[in-house]
Amino acid sequence: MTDRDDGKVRAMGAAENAEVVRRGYKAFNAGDLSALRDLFAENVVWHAVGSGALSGTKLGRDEVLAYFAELGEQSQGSFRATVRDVLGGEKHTVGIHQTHAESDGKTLDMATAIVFVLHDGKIVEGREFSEDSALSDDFWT
Amino acid sequence: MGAAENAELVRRGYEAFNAGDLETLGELFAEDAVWHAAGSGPLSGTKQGRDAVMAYFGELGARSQGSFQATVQDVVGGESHTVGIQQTTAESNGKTLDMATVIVFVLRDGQVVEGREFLEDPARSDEFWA
Repeated sequence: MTDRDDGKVRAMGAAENAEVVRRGYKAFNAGDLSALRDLFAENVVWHAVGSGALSGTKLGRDEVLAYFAELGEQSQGSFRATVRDVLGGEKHTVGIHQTHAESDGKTLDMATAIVFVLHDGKIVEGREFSEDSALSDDFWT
Repeated sequence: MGAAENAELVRRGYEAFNAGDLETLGELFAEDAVWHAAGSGPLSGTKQGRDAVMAYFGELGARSQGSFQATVQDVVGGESHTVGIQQTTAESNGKTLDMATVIVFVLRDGQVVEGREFLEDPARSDEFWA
């Protein structure tokens, strides 16, 4: 295999990883946790942003899915992650989205970034970043 | 300019920033660049124009006695955005900031026209700068 072929293989991996992440956003917004589950490795680690009630590290697929379900339940199903862009790199896949949720008359509307790591087409790590998690900490209180 | 060139420019920006070379850094920004500093602290909010952005970068250094460093973990170039993933470290008056950070850049014609910071815990960063 030439170096150029090698480069093409890597680039295709990045595009495929970005596609997996886009499918994940779609399943998440549809509340389809079963389709979402298929995209995560069993030993996935998820870092939820901030210092609020739902923040911190979730270990394993079950904990990660339970966290996603909590986001929906605590916002009466209103939680949406509207995708602005998904970037595929060699080591990381980055999702940029607008987070929107409503609960008990409170509204959360915040730009968010998630850095994903994928192995063999599955998400093994996700780390959330926010422009102002004090907003989300207040919201989830 | 393509995604790879934009990523390369952002890497040059990190290098200049960490070297405290604001003159080189300034050349990478468009005159009407807009920067969104994360959180709700004294340095947070939108900086309008290259001068305001550079003044903000200068403040980060000045208020941390020059200890502020953005250690690059990865730069990912896309069609609409270029993303920098970094570990931010700074020390000030016995306080330490050590936080994973993402910056989403928009480039036009080989210059940064927008940057938006995202932090793993903006409230903790607000405390550091308070």
